[in-house]
Amino acid sequence: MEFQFLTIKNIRSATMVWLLSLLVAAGCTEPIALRSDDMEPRLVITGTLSTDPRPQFIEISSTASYFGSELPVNIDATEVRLNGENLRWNAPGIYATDDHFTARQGETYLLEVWIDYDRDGKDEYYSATTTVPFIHKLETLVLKSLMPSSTDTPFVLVAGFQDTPGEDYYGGALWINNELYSNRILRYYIHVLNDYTQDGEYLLYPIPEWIITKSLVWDNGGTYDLYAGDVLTLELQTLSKEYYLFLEEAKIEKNQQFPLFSGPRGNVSGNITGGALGIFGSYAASRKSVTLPECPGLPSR
Amino acid sequence: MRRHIRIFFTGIPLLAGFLIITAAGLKAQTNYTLSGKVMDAVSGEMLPGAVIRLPEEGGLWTLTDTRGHFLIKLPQGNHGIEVSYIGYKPQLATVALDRDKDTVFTLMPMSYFIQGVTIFADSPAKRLSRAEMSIERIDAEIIQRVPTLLGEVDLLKVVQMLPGVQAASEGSSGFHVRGGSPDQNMILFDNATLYNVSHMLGFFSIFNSDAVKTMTLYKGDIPARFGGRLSSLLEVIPADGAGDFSVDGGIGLISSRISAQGGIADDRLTFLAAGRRTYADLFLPLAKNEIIKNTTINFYDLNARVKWKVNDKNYLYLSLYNGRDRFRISDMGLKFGNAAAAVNWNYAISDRLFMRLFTTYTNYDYDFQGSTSEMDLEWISRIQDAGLRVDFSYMPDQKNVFEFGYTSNFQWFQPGKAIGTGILASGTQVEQDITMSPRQGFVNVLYFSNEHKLFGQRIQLRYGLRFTRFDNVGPTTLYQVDERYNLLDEEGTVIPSGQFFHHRYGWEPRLGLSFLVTPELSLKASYSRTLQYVHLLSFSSAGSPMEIWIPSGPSILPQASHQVSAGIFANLFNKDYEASVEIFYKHLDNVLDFKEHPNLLLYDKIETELRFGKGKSYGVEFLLKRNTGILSGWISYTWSRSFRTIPGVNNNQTYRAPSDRPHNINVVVFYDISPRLQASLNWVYATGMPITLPEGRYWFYNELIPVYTERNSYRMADYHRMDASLNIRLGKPGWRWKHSLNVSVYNLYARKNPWAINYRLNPAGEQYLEMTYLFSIVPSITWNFSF
Repeated sequence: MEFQFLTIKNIRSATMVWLLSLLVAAGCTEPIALRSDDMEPRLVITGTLSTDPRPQFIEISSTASYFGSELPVNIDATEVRLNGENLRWNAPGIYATDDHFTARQGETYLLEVWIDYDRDGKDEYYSATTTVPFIHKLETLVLKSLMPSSTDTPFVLVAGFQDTPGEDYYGGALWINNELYSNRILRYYIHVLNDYTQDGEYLLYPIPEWIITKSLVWDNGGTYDLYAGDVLTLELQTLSKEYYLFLEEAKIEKNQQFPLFSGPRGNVSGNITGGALGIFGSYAASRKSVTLPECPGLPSR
Repeated sequence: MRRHIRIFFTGIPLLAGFLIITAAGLKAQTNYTLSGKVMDAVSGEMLPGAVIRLPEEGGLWTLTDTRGHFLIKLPQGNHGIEVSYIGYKPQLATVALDRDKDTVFTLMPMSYFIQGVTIFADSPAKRLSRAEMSIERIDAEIIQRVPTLLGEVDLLKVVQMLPGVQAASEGSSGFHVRGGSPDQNMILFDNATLYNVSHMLGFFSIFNSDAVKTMTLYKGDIPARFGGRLSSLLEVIPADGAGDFSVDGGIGLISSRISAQGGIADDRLTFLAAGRRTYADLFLPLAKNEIIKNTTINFYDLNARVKWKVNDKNYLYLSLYNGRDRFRISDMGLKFGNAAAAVNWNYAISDRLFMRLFTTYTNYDYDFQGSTSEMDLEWISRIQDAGLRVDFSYMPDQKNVFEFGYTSNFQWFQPGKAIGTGILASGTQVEQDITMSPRQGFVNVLYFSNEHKLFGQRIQLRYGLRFTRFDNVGPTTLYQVDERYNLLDEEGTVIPSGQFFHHRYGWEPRLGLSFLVTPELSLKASYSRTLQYVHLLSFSSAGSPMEIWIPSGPSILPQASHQVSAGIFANLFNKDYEASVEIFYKHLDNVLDFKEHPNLLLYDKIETELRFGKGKSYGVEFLLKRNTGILSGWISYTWSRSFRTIPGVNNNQTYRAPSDRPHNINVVVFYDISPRLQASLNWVYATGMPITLPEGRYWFYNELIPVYTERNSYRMADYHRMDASLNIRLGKPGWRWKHSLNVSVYNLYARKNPWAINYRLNPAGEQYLEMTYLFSIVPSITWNFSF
């Protein structure tokens, strides 16, 4: 599969840089006192199930005002069940499966939450379902130089795996020396493959999210330094559709810092019934690692 | 709508009856037709809307039509005639009528006699008596006197100061009319349709005031010969050159302009050519900011107009426009611009039947070039529109003016094509592209209307009907969606070139009534239905040249509106003042908005991202103006509301439209301090623009996700601004060489009006709002000359 450098993300990035430059050149800014009202707090339920054997967590919280220093806080529920089994209280507002829980591929899970959120003395009921996707095994992971006829940086990670026919929702999380780099939505890669000519074939898929040089640029403008010998681990995730859609909209919301090309804003769509915000999703994971080589573009530790 | 059609058709026999009765009454004596035209004695230009009054015939009067022609039936004998036109010295004449006669009246501009200025091009008498309402016509002279940003005279900025009209955003050329969106305004330049009229991202419009004769804004009661947009029609008529060869020009801080005009063979052939060029970027290298230092920002535009009087019955006109903007910051930039051409043939088939034939072509395109670490990017988009229209006017007597005709427009849309050039790991340079399918629309229109005067011309009834047919034509890839906006076919259907694959019909009735209660007071009411087959997908309230237009199609419904309005119009204090109050209610069908989190960028299946619903606007407009004298101007106040209810948007609940800005005040004052010194001042106030803000937040994946309650439930700070200018005439009176200095100040008290609002995080981790504003106080100076 050819490296697709012309992506909407790249186009957006190119135009955004220009428009931001234009704004810097043309406009002035200053903080304003316009404040939105404090909304009535709303219940939020979030959680994902993974095919990895480990405790899986459901988090229950209440929204906080958008402006100001107050942060959302977790709240306890009366009861939290997964497929009829009670989840154990782990920390305030956090409920967990047992330590070796593994979400089974193709199985549908039902999450149920009882909580007296409106404090009327009676519990309200919230629920959501997710069907765990099948694993797409990451068979190869290689570093490919983007420089012509070179083995030097910048590199791009190329994932090799067998796609399945039809619509598949992929996610990618990156670890650097066993430390999770993709620990925020904006450092997490998602992509849907459904309308390309190699549907169902073995793919060598370049992941354009991370261009690897001597440093990775963080979303806040900082950098994460890389050295020869560092180990990069890619977790290829196959996402449930509702989880993918939630991630996609959440990324859009977090990217909306400039009014052009952004469209109207709105709530991130979730799948919790009963009026709560949030998402109950699932994914199937497969991992491979690759070591950064000695090359002129990478310093040694 | 059926009810309106029924009223329309039952009205025709009644009108026919009136015609018969009128004809019978005239049989008793010998009547002859007096026809003719009224011209500017200096420029030779025709004067539309001039009043021809016969004081001895019981106050009988008529008006010249849009070409300056008139026709009136009178009994045999001598008749005293008074010909007047606002801003011109009235002319008295006696005509001995013993046969049908054709005559020419030439009026001398008042500027040759007195100081002062005429505000609106229409005379007070005409504004009162005509059936049309919600219409404003402004001369280039006024446009040139209103103080503007950086001294660059701008037609659209004057439009934005009329009642019922609001700027889309600070500095924008876009405007809202009676709660409508900017794409619901049809802008015609000599009948050529324009799709983007902005220079410099909207800070200036493409209209060079030197090349504009008049502009007319119809805010809803649009004549049957026009249509295609829901909210308004802005008709810009280019200026005709005339007289001896002359040159006008101006040199300003950021731009210069020059125009030349003249005529040969007794002005049988006249021409006007005008050009503008900005050079704001010449000073940018002096800036400290590195980004500003490396910025290129300029535009130019060229206008040309040729009028050829073939003979007394045939006139040919040619209008050309070409303009281009260039923005470049570092190695990224944007070029965009318009080209337009129009050929117009006016033919007086007889004294009572006139024909106007227009062929038009416009092109708007933009070309963005940028780059990332991986590729060079070029992104292009284009709209073309070719049109043909033929209008006939038939005046069987002085009580009826029938108009009928046919219009055809073919529209090509290339919504977007991105071409990326990059180097693969193998070293191969490759080109990749993302191309939105082209779309074509073909609109054909037949129309008919009549303006009928009743009861000694105290009542004017105007009725008309448009029939439109819209066709979608290949080549394209057609994407259709179901009622839940899911694609019926992911791959779409490939439509070959030239294939007509979808069509729609529409009827657009128009009705207007004017009752002249007294010579100084009239009541008016109107109803109009309009259809819109092209839609602007606007990415931002801030305005951008990189927006796309698309035509209606199987899954993109045409927008429709019904508008009713009524008003009272009065001339006060011996016609020194005019006052009016108009109310309106507008219902919109199939008005479109985006779903939440839409995919807008180069997305071919845009049908899945749109949502259609209903809208409504209503309001009241007050206007008081002084037309003449050393102190003149106008004050207007508009109260209006505008809402949308669109399934799938805002939890299906009604929400404020982006144009919902209830209070709007405009004050425009011209003061002639002395023959050499003229001052102008304007003040604008508008309620803040609606915006959507988050109210809550929650954690997910170590990020705080915003929570919203309602779309457009908050507002930016109110907008207000004062501008002033002083025009100083230099040189000696009577000299051919004339020059003047214009000193203007935009945003006199340095109000920081919000243009955009962003979220920011302070060092303590708290979210706050940050306003971007474009202008503080902006002084400028321009030197104007003519010889």
